[in-house]
Amino acid sequence: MRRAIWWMTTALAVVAVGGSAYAWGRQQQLNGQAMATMVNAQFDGALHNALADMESLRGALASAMLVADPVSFDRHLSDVAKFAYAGENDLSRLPSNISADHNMNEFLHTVDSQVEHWMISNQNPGAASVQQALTSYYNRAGNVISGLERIVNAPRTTASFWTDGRQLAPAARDGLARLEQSLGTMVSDASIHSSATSGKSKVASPILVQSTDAVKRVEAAAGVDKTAEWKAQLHTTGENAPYYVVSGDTKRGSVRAEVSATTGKLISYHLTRPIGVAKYDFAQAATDAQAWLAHQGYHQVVRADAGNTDGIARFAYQPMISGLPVLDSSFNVVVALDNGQVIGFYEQGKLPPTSLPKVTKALSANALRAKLGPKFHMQSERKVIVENPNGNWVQAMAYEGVLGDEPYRVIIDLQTGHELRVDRLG
Amino acid sequence: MRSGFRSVHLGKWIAFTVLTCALTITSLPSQVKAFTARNLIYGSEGYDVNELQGRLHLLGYYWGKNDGIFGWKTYWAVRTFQYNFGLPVTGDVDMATKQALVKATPNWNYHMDSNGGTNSGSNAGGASGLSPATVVAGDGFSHGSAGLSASDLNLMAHVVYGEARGEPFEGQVAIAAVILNRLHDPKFPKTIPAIVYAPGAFDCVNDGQINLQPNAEARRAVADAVAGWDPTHGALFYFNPAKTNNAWMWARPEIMTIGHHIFTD
Repeated sequence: MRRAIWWMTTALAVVAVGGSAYAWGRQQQLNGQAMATMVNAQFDGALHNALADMESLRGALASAMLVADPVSFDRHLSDVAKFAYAGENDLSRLPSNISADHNMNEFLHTVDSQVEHWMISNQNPGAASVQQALTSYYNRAGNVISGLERIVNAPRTTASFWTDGRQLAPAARDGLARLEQSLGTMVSDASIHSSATSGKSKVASPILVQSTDAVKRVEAAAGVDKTAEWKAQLHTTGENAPYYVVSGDTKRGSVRAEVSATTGKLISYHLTRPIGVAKYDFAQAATDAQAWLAHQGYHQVVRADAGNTDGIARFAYQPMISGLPVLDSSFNVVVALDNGQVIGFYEQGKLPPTSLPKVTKALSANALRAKLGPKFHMQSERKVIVENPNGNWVQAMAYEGVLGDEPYRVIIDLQTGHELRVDRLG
Repeated sequence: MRSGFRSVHLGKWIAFTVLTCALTITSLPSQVKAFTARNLIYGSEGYDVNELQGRLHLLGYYWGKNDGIFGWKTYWAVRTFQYNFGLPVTGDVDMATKQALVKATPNWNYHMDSNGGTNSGSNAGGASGLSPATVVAGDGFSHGSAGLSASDLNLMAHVVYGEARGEPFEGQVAIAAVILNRLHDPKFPKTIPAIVYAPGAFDCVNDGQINLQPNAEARRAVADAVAGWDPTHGALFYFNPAKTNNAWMWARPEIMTIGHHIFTD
């Protein structure tokens, strides 16, 4: 009798534990399924939105081709830019780790940049180059729509079209990969490529600087002389190639710097060391940073920005050409505020022009100011050098001031009067 | 009896001293806090900047918040003040500008500012008297830079910490640089959040490590990348060879290896 009770109790305990485990496991499975369904629904939603926006984009491109009236043309171009941007956003919500190509995104970016350029430059709707580009975009948009439709209409036997465990499901992966591949030839088509989005130059530069000279260049930047143990490694791939990575130790910390193997210029410099409590004067650090830049050969610079985070000050200096600052190019100097030592230097933006960009006929000061909105409360104005949407250096007026409580800078081309861009400051 | 007399006498003396001190303190004019010796420029922070903003506000030149941060509005206010008072218009606050300001605002005191009550500490004389805004910056970026907002920079710091903590410093800068390279590449979305949260783009988003609180080193790495340091020289992708078997990733042309990551074009 006692044995029977023991067996019954054991059996009941096993059933209870097993049942609980099953119920818990089942709950986890249901939770996982619900999560997977939700993820799939989000991917599906992004795909359907992308398709809808591509169809709208194609419609707007057709409308732009069908009218010759500049006002209507601009309105349709505005629609094209809007739908291209929306399409880019939709695509950013789809799985991105299937391919490195991202041709769809590049196509939409190209369309967006190009129509924006046409709108700024008041492009003639009837110009042959415009019509040719619009036709090309229209056809490509049709290809994208066909590709997206194939994925949208693919049979879905389960809720998990997109995911397969933690991986992207083969059907979705192959569909997206095929679509990217089909657009590959478009991206290499130079005739419809906007100059604003053109690829990086890959022309190899010659190696004209020896590794010992690269080390000497960094020696001068670091202000040290015992560099017998330092290493200079040549790199021939990537932007700025060829260049040397120079590394070594000093009493104060370890140095890592990059020197162009073509020009011998310092590309970057970084001293790694512990940063102590900030006690160095910030304004003095700015003066020191400018003196350090002068020591490196950059004499004509103006301080454009300054900041202070975690006991480290960062100062941005813009090069000056004939007394005008170049806004899209800067030298950044990093100063440790524990003792005022320069611990970093980086170049940013494009190389500045070698001479002042020419202006054949500048608009008057009043005509330029008339381009500003009535709510813009201007605080200062100055001539600057900036890059226009075509990638050319031009002279421009920079108007700095506030809209309500927010500081802004409006940059207007000195010659065309076109607004080149608006920067929010601070 | 004699000791009792002494106690009463001592008590009177103490009471008299305390009363005298109290009267002296209350009869003193409101203290005018003067600038410290340090110069102030755009980007300066601290109690001196609070004082600068307070004095400029009193004169009607400054209309922003008294936050102790020398920003654009303070800069323009200083320039206008310098112009109107016949000083060289630089936007930097040197000794001459400070003297002119103090002279122009003899009645200013820190109680006049909305947050002046917090400024009466001994830090005023310190070269690095940091404002509350800087304390906030200790946990994250409090303002943007190079066209990126503070939230963009903080998000990048989360990715750097989630993806590359434990890597050498340049390896952390490299992660931030890859995000910025994507931002400037037409193949990728146009905003930092869209790049970071693109499905499958970053492992730390998938496994939740992006939610870890970044440290100062990660923030410094982001700041250096934003300042222009790109140790990857234009890389758009990276992977850890020990953890990745993705065929197309391995097929990408390698630019360089930093720490445990291979950076590719």
